[in-house]
Amino acid sequence: MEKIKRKFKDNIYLDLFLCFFKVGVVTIGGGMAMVPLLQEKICDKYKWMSEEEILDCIAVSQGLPGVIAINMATYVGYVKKGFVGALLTTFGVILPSFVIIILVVCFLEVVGTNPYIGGALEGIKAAATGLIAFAAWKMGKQTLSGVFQWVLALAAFVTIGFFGVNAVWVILAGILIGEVAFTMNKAKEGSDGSGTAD
Amino acid sequence: MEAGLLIKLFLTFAKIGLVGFGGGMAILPLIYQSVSEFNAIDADEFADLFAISQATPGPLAVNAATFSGFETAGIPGAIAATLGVAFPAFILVALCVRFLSRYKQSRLVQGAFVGIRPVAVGMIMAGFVMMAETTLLSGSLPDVGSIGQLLEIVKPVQVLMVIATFVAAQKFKVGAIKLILIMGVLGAFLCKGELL
Repeated sequence: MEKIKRKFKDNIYLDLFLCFFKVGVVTIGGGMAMVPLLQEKICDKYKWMSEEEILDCIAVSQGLPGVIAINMATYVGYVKKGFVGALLTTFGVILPSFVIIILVVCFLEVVGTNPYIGGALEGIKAAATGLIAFAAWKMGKQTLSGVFQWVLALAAFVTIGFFGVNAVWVILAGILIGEVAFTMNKAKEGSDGSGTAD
Repeated sequence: MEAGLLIKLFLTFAKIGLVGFGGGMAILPLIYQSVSEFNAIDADEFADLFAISQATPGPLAVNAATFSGFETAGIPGAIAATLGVAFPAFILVALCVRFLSRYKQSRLVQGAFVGIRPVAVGMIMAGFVMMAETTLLSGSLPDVGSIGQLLEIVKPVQVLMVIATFVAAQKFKVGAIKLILIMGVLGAFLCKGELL
């Protein structure tokens, strides 16, 4: 037993699968609920990515077609261990919902009418909401280093959160603005040699 | 099991995986069309599926695929449909990551990320608003006209739980999974009997 344990300890492939399996089990209420869990596991626990890299992952996953949870899983898996890594993370994140849906379909009567299950789900959703607020606070503290970043973040927040604009357009606008800001910054740096690129 | 049916399940849900930009609500109508291609499902049953999906782990599109495939052709059907919904995204993201890591040093990619990162933070904040609306209110936000109305539909226990979660995570560094489990148990008793 000890031997097996040692063999599987620090096996990155196993860690990739298990990490996303666990995230898949507790992610209730859609893709964004995954963000705080991913951030905790991937940045803090396994140190696979930095906070900035996780943000890249979130934006790319939102901007591409497909289900956000799967996109994020594939992204992290591919960055760490290429094709095999991506397969493991994607299977990991899908497997829990796959099994649970089949169970729910088979036992729908029991699950749908149990008052305790309904209450537990309310609690879980409340936790997920608090955790997203925490993730936004933490990522914001890390990334929003100046006025430019704050304005962009707040603009994205208001357009998506309150006006229901599709995230894809907001991301594309962000990319364009980023290109312009980056180019201007470089030009300034080139002319006086004192600019800072961020 | 008929191979043709499995292939059709795979392809139908691959279509959802391919066009589902931004995820979730935006592709609801398409999911409904795809599911009703295979199952005699009416709007009520679809609403149930939606509720189950909100209340179980995993994204709606994946849950709908598993559900539809399972009802149509058992476990093999569920596998075919679920793989279908995941397949296009898998390929696209893999290609995208490859491209990004190859051109990481290019000005164009660096510039893009300068803009993308703050936007992603904004998206997480927006995600909070959307989650908060379904978690904390028993009605929908646009219907609220005054503070009084807002107070009427707000769920006080859930508000406290959201605040407790935030404080526990931020001040006391309690892990996310632990918090979800704790709130699930608390909710089972404090919010007992609330509808899905």
